[in-house]
Amino acid sequence: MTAVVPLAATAGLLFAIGLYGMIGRTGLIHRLLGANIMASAIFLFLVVLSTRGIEASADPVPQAMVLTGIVISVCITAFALGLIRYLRVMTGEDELRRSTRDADGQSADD
Amino acid sequence: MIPLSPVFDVLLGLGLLWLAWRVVASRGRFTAVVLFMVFGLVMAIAWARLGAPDLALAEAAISAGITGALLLNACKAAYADPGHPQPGGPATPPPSSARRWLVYAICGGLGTALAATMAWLALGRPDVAPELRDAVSGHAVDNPVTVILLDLRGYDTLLEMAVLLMAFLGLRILMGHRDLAGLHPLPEGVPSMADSLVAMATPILLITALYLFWTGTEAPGGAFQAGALLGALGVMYRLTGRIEPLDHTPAALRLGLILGLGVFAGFACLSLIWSDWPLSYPAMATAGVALTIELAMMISIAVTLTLLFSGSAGIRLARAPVQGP
Repeated sequence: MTAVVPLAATAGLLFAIGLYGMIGRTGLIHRLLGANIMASAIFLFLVVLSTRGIEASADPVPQAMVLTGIVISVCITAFALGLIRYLRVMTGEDELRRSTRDADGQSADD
Repeated sequence: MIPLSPVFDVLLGLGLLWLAWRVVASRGRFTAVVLFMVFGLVMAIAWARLGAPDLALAEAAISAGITGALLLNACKAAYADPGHPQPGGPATPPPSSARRWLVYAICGGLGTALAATMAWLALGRPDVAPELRDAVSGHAVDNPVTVILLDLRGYDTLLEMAVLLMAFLGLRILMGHRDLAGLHPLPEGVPSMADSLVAMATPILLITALYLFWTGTEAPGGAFQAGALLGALGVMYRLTGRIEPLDHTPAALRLGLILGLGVFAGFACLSLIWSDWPLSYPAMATAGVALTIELAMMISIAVTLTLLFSGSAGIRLARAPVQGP
């Protein structure tokens, strides 16, 4: 099936984009979205691995794993959003400081 | 169709990449969240294209629907919160240039390497193991994905129900410390359209969910998709004020929360009676037992997703539904 190569390559690049969201951004919502994109990339790769041409039936094991993964990622998102809101209630921010030393010494430019 | 499909796949891939990049690179949270929902829908198209309709259904209902609603709500809560920097200019300090280029280099290098490796791996996919093919084709349940979820990899699904419960319990602990429900403001007036739309959508969603649940044993569908749809219904009810938040969890809801995990775990114990291994199905009643477990899981998934969205310890149906102005 022709779909596999472009979509598998897409999965690899998507993972990197998600990683950029995780480590290149400071806003916690953006980081969470980056983590979700990384998860989607892995799901896409697993689904690509499960395909077996048009007439043959697909491999159901990766598909079942992805189905499980989708539900788990929505749970993690919900819990992470709860943590983000908790952090906002506690500190009034929704970014993480780079380190406690930064927060103490250089809070002015953060 | 044959000459067109590679073009379509490449365009689909490029669209996914562009959307993902816009999500992580956009300045505002709201823009990022809306683009992420679109990303989820395009991902559902990719999965339908790859011949995985079970996943396309679940992705469209969960990622684009419920995750999107959760994220939008979190954004709204952020804007409504006084004393918080207002939208438009989130004060993100630009990281130093060297650090930024380091991040670009890491992500670019990793992305290139991963894309090449994944494409290479995808070309050399092994065949489905004959044992697996036999086990799936000889099973009393016809949908192969349901067979894997409920029988062959039942442990995964059992533990997944535990993760769902954990997510709610974790949120519940956070809410016990601070009044997060107060950060969950309802709109003052529900738009007049919303009420009749919800009234019309209720039977359609219920029938679709029950159909997906019932057909899940032989066709794409099942407890996850049906539970997600019911959860979406709960989200709509919560948004339009037909469901009110509570600060405690009523007994019926507690039962709903643990039903999926409880029935599945109880079945695992019971199955030791007729088998040496937990989670093995009785030869006589495989389909019936599978359907019972799926029903319990569907209820638990729907209740948990609604509660996770509601951000409150409990919910109850509002006595008098909010009328349009």
